[in-house]
Amino acid sequence: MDATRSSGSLVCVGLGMTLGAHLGPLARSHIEQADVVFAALSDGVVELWLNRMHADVRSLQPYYREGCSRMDTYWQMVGAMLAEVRAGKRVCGVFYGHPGVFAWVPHKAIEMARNEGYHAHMEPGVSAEDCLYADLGIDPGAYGCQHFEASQLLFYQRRIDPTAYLILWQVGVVGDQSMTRFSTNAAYRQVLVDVLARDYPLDHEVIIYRAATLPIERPRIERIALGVLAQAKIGMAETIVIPPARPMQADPEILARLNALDRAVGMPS
Amino acid sequence: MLDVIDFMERMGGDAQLSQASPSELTLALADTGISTELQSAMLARDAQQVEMLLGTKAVCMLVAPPGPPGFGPHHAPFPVAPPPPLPEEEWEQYQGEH
Repeated sequence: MDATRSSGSLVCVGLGMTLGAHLGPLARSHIEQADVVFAALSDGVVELWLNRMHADVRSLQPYYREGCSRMDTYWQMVGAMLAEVRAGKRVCGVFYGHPGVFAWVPHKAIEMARNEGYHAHMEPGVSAEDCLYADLGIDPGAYGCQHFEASQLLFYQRRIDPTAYLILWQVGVVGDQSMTRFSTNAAYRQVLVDVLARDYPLDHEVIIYRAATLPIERPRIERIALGVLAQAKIGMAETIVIPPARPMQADPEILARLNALDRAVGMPS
Repeated sequence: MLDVIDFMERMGGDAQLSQASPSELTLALADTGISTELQSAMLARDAQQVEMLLGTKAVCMLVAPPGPPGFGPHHAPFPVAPPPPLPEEEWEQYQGEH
């Protein structure tokens, strides 16, 4: 299809995590100047807020159906947005947090729109990860920080570094192979605990975290032992943060090489 | 007169109000046209009650597939790989079938 002459376009923006606090001026401008706005947000109150920014906001929520594969739902969301792009509209997809973090739909919609010759791009937003660093006082530069989608840690043999922070996303649906469920139970979380116990003692502290989505809320920050993680109440919005369990080990061989280089260039080491 | 959405937008973007104590929040809410019930829920920082009073529905959050499309061992136990991008006609057919 030759769409280079079409005026249709797509931009995916992030609303940030907290109502009123994180929306940037560029993202707001994209919303206000769009012909049609599609929205996948964190709660209904935030949807009400977005409805005030544009007269034609279409929630993507109705595409969810009980028992339906989320991949089918996501394809339908992509299709709904692209149909308007192909109709020559300036389309803005609005997503909670950052539109490109743990969000398959915006990436796929942009990829497909570009493949068809339309202008499509993404504007970043304030993600749950950003809020997490602020609320928990973690600097990922201090010890390093690994991020995994929780189920990926179960389905694949990943290498955990217990000298760094480990952050696990989507723990509320950990172990769901069907992509149809909206939660999994304690037995599934116990499998996660058993995998983590290969690298961490069961009395190691883990943090259950959820960013505030409304300004009246406070973030959820709950510290528990890894051994009782399976019994904890963990929903779709919760993230698990596991602090380092071991000190970093120096690498003498590499340090010796660097010292030799320092001497060669006349630097004190 | 501010309603609850206006107030929360202001609260989210106001350095002082976003960090307000309960008494400061009570004072700020008193200047609005927000119902007593909603004010109580906001003071209690009860987001669920606010949502209920506003009549909003619970939403489903996006959940990313546990891996990049097409990635995975041969025996991947779940369908991580979505179908390739569909041409327009096929997409319409897909929508019709689903």
